[in-house]
Amino acid sequence: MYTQQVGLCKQIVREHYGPIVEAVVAVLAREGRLSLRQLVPRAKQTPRNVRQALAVLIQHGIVTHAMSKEGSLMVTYYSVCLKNILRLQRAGLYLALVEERMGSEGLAVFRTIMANGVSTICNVREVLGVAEMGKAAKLKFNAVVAKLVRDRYIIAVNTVDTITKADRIMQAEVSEVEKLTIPPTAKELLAIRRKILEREEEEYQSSNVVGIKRRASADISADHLSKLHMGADGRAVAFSSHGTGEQNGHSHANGEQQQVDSVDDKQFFRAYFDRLDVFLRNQQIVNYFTDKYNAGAGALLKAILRVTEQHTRTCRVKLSETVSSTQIFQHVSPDAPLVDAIDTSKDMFHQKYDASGNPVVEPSSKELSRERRSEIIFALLEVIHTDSSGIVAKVDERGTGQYRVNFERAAITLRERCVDALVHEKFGSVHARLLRVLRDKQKLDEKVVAQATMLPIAACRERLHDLALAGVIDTIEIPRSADRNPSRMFYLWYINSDKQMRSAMRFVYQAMSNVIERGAKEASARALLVAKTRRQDVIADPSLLTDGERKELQNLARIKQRLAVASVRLDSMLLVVYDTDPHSADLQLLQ
Amino acid sequence: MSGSLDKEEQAALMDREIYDLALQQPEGLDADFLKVALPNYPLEVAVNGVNRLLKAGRLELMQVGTRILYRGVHASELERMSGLTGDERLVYKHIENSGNEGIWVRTLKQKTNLLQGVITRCLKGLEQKALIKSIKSVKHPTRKLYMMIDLSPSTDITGGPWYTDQEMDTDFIEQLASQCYKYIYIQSYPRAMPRGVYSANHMAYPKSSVIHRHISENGITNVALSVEHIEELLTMLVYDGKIERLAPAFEMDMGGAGGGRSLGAKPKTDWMYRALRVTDKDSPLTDIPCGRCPVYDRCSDTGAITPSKCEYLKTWLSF
Repeated sequence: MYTQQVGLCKQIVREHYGPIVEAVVAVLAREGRLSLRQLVPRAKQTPRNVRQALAVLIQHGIVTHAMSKEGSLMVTYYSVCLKNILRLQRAGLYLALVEERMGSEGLAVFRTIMANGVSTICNVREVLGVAEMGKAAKLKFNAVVAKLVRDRYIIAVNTVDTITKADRIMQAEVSEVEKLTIPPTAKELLAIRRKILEREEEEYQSSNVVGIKRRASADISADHLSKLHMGADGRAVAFSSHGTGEQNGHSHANGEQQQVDSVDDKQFFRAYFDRLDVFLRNQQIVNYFTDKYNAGAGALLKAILRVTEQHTRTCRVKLSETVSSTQIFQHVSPDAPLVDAIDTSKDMFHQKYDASGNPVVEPSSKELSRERRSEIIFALLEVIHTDSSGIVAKVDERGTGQYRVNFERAAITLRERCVDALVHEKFGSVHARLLRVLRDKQKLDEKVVAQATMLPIAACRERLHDLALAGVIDTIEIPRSADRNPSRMFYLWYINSDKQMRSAMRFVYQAMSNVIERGAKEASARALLVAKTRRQDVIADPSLLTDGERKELQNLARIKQRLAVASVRLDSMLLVVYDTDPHSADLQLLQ
Repeated sequence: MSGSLDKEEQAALMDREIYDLALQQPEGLDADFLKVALPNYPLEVAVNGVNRLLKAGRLELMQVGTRILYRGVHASELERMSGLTGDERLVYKHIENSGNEGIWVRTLKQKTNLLQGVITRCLKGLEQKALIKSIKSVKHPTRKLYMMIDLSPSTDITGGPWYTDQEMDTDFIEQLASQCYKYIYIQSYPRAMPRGVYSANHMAYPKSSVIHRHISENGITNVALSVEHIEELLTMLVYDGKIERLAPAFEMDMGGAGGGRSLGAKPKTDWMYRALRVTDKDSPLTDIPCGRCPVYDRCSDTGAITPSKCEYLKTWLSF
């Protein structure tokens, strides 16, 4: 936990929930787990306000609680999960993602659940007013909800989920120990702890989807559904229980189409952000290949990840499932810009000419013949899997090959790119060069660094110290003699990845915090004007606003938009640096 | 009288023979060699001749391991040395032996066992006679090295083509690197497809030798550069994140065995270089002034420097 992180969390909570909740979060973040009795005086709020703030925070999964016996009393302790606060900044991205994949219906359901923190489907139905809608809309709603649950965009929750994870594990340990007649030995205790962790892992790995039931759809034919679900714009939007959004075009087994999933109305659901982070991470991988090669390569990666994401529940997964090149071929979007994506010509000069000597124009991506399309895709696959990053690996040479994505390598590559960009921006290209040399060669003396970077030794030393002060690199002492005399030491520069990651995160937290604070200041400077726009008379007659006021409102909207974009972009750095790393995702499981 | 004259003539004749022999053997000759080369003279006579030549300074002694060798001194060299004192000659010899690496005054003092003042006086005298020159090393800029006036310092001393006046010429390096990058970039992507890439089996990406030829043939620089120098530049570009190295496919197939190379010698990979595409996307930190804010470390929510009062943010938001 960093000062900058706490500062940022406070600002995010203030922005979303107001100053009272912010006070409670600030105390919990600063002091750790506290009981209500300890929390009230520290937060300087009334007990009622604190209790209500805690209720809101628990509802949204930001605060967890745990009971502990103290003497004759049972005391409830509250802890805050900063990661869930930071995710609030990503809300817009999550919603856009759901809209892209689940359509506007999916977005409406997801937004309702997200706004309420935890909600039953029955409640969502009530909020969206589904009861008053026609049969088609009801069917549509059910199908979308089923898909959201099945694809784990939302996940079932129960009362245990609001209990602090560490306490839950401790309680399980206590109950296991109580089963024994004599106090456990250290070995037995270790075995118990291992068993509990294994049970947790088993629960996590379980492929069962809670809160959904599958039943045969005797009354609804696929034909009938497709007629019902034709969108207003004539586009076939996914209303069948097996295909929504852009996945509609993809094949599903015929047998599956004979079944409809029904979601338990009384089951509580919450948005499953860990799963959504996978999609955001995948988007970053696609961006990497698009930037490095072209949009065609990006489209291929998108297809590979789409096939594998069914089995990639969270960012903890280190390796994807294998995908055959035929599957990739089938899943590449028809609109993917494959024409001119790769030079597959055998001769030196790519440009072909017809009989009359005019250059032959390649057809558009959609008009490409199947053979040409497969030729381009297989050639691009070769380029992608030979990429120096090692993100895509070919696991089977037979036929046209099997591919798999190494998410661990992807996380490292993306993080390195991000840190390079940060150093490049803050210090310049020469510093970034130094960093890359150290990353490649590991521990080096400054003379060797200067040689590799082609810099005068004095300039090199100065820059190395800049980087060390920023926490990006570190030194290690190698004594020449047993007395460890500092004048007779080798000082080697190296990259301490943990420290580097922490520095990068601190930097991003601070920048995000600055952007939010500036946004709040800009809004408060125009608070009177904004209040005026909310007056009933002004809403009824906008001409009550002067030209200057209108201009100022436009200016405020522009500033807000610019700051929001900056904030979202910074958040993508945070996602890349920390959240997508399988190791940090593992650590977060215990929180 | 005539007998003594004959003896003198004989000695002079022998001296000339020994001297000529010594000049023919730049590596030096020893007593055994003289014995074989001058079978008509007894060894004592030959040794006397050697002693006379040594005294006259026309031969000089060398020790190679345990062997004592005599080396002939050329007439021009003899003439140069004629005006030197004994100390100057000693110092001169050590400087001469240092070759194009030069010798530091402190090393000279250790080797000659002369006093500092004497060495300084000798060096001054030799410099005035235009026999030696002083240079500075890029490795140790504070050290003054001495070497023969007619020699050019080694690249270890001058730093090679990247140094001008004992300082690294970063502008020259940048210019040359940018020329290399441009050349690689042109070769890295198909001209007919601005957004396209070459297939994975494309083997015509430029190698260091090709880039070296491009630089030399187009007269991009007057400085003589070797392929190794170009490779240094390319390594720098790799670390700049502008290009990447690709291993030639046939080398990978051969399991790294270098054809035609001696056994035990590490085969050198003839890398190919591909330019990375220049992306038009900027970093999230480029977007906001915080990325390169000079007072970023002092910025907080309280105090004189805060985001609310930030002039950089104000200017950025007013665009």
